[in-house]
Amino acid sequence: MPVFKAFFKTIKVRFLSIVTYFIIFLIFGSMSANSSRTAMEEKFQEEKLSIYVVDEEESPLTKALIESLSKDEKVDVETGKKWTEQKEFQKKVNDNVRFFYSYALILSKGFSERHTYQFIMEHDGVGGYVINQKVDAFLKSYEIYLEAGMEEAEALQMTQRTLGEIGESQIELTGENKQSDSRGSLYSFFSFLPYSLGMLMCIGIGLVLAELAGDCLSLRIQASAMSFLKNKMEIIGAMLVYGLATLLILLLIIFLQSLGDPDLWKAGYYILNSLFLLLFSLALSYFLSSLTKDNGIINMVSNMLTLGMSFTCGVFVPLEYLGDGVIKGAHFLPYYWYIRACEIVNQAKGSQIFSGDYLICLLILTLFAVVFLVAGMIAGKVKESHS
Amino acid sequence: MFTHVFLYKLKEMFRMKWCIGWNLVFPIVLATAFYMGFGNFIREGEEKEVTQVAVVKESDTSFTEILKRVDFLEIKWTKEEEAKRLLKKGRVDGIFYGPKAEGDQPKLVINENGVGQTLLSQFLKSYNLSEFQVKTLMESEKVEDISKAISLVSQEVEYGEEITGFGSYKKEEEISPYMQYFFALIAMASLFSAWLSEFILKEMLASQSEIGKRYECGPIKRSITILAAILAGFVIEILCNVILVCYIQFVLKLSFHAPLFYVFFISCLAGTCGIAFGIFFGILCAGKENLMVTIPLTFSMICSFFSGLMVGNIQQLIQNKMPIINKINPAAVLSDGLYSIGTYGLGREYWVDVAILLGMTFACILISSIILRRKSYASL
Repeated sequence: MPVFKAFFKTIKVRFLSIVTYFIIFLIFGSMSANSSRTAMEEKFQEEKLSIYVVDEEESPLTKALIESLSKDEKVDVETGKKWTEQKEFQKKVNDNVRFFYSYALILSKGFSERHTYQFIMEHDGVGGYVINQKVDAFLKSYEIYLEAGMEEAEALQMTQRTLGEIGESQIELTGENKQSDSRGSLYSFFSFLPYSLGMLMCIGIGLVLAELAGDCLSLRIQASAMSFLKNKMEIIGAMLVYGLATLLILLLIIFLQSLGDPDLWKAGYYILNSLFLLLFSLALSYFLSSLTKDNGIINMVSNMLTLGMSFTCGVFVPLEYLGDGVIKGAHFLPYYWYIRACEIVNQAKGSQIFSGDYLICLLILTLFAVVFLVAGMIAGKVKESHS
Repeated sequence: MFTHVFLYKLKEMFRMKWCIGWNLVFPIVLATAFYMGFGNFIREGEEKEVTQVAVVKESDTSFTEILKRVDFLEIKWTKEEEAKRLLKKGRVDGIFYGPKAEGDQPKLVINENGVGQTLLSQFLKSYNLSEFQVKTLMESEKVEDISKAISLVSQEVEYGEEITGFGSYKKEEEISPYMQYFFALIAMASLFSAWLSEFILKEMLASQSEIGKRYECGPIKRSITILAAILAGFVIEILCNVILVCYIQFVLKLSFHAPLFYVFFISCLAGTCGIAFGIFFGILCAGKENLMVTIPLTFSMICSFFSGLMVGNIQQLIQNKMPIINKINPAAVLSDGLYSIGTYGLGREYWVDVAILLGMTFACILISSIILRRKSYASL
């Protein structure tokens, strides 16, 4: 099988690039899984917010306030720095709120007497209002006990007790939206698959096919005793072996990272979906290699196509965050249907998965694969007739 | 001869599809993809998010009175059926069921957990706190003057003051944090120019190509030909950067919140820095075809990653842990320059970033010219 072997010998040259894309998948897939993972919600839970506190005073009141906030929120405290006197420090705090924290609480000197504080809220501000409410409730409670004639230490103690003891509010979680919102690690990894699989196919198969179609090599293959059919069958066989091996490694990464996922029983449906994605990726790489023999252009175009589709079809940014116009446009792109199928699997229960919608997604993916395959064949024919 | 080499190199580079593709088309396609992905966040970020709540009022109580005065909630006073419909469609974050009479507890119904729902729950807690506190004070034996304390319970007090600006910074004029992705993209496009200079060197040096041998046999000084070719690469890079910045500002309509001249200036400087790094890498990897592609690509991608191309807040994370990394990464220096001018206006930070980029460019060119000067051939 000389052509089959030549295929893998040529791919060996790209070993470094291929490994890089596996690493990218491992790192960014994990990051994406961690950031978008949401658990099934059975009861109401307060959102844990992150607060950056600048404590200039370090008094019992500031310490008690920080302790009270730390019970429900993630609090980082900065002491020994003066807010008003250090411009660089002000910028650092502001930048931290813009990129990490929901809120910065500045407790200046004299806070224990005035009971007033300064704050910086995050961009959209909703989290900031929550903290404002908490801090105001603490201070108001403290003032009320002081007004009632208590000593400072006693008022603080009473405030902490009151805030701790305040009865549970009547909150009912209906959970009507909870199914669509819960996302496990398996879903997150599979939704990140199109970019990595697409790039791995294009830089592997696309570049090798372009190389095999190069003037010198293709003439030598044509001049050989090997029949046309055998030559093509060996290339197709090599493509399939490479594609399936790549997908297998990616699936192995996914399963090793998602061992504890309660949705693991849905893995078969995700795998079926990814097999259809593999079909499309193979067809795309074949199409690109039939357009040009220039490795640089194949690399560039495949980057543009996969990155472009990943951003507009819900691979990098979840579909619910995309604008209506973008989603309408995405209907004409294959990655959208792959992501739709992933969402159907994620949301459905048991036998519901094999619904018409899921099969339609697979069918559309197949159609896209056929279109690119036929387009590649036509482009190849046209090029051949011109040469 | 300088002009001749310059013009021909310019023509040659304009005709190279990969050169225009990687340096101009690819960043524009990626900017469009970013815009489709994050454009919503940037546009919506300019409007403040408000938590919406439907209120089902049974009767007028102190709870409904307090709700009427609240400014951080958008309230829809409705009947129960309509409220349920709004909640199901996600048009409100929750439903408040007002108490039927004074003394009864209000109730909150939500569909899912989230920050908006946490705000509603906290509001309910604050309301319940007042009631709980009155009860505690009544039961306490230590209280001396209960009337004054109870009058404070019914008062609405705000202790906090929002910081909306310091120095030249004004919160209402601040740039969206999502613009960080576009800054990193400009940085990536600028560092891609390293490929241009590597290509230039490959075609100019006798040790690397046949054309290089012909150039070096010619009567012109090596420094003049290389300088002319690099200047051509620089022109291409400036053009690509200017088009990219204009595309983001005028076509995608995402503002840099800064005078465009300064955006062009620092972007072009980063492009020059990329070219200088390319020359440096080209000389280091002379003759090693594989490394000549891998090194600039790895360099530009790693630098761009640490400036926030894939994870928007990574640069700030590094700034908090190891700020020196941000000062030696040209992509981070550029994106910091664009961020600081967009957020805090033209100031010391911007000029420090300009100085660092100039320093890196100068250092690379100096080292490269020292190495290049020593190369001479007895015969070709």
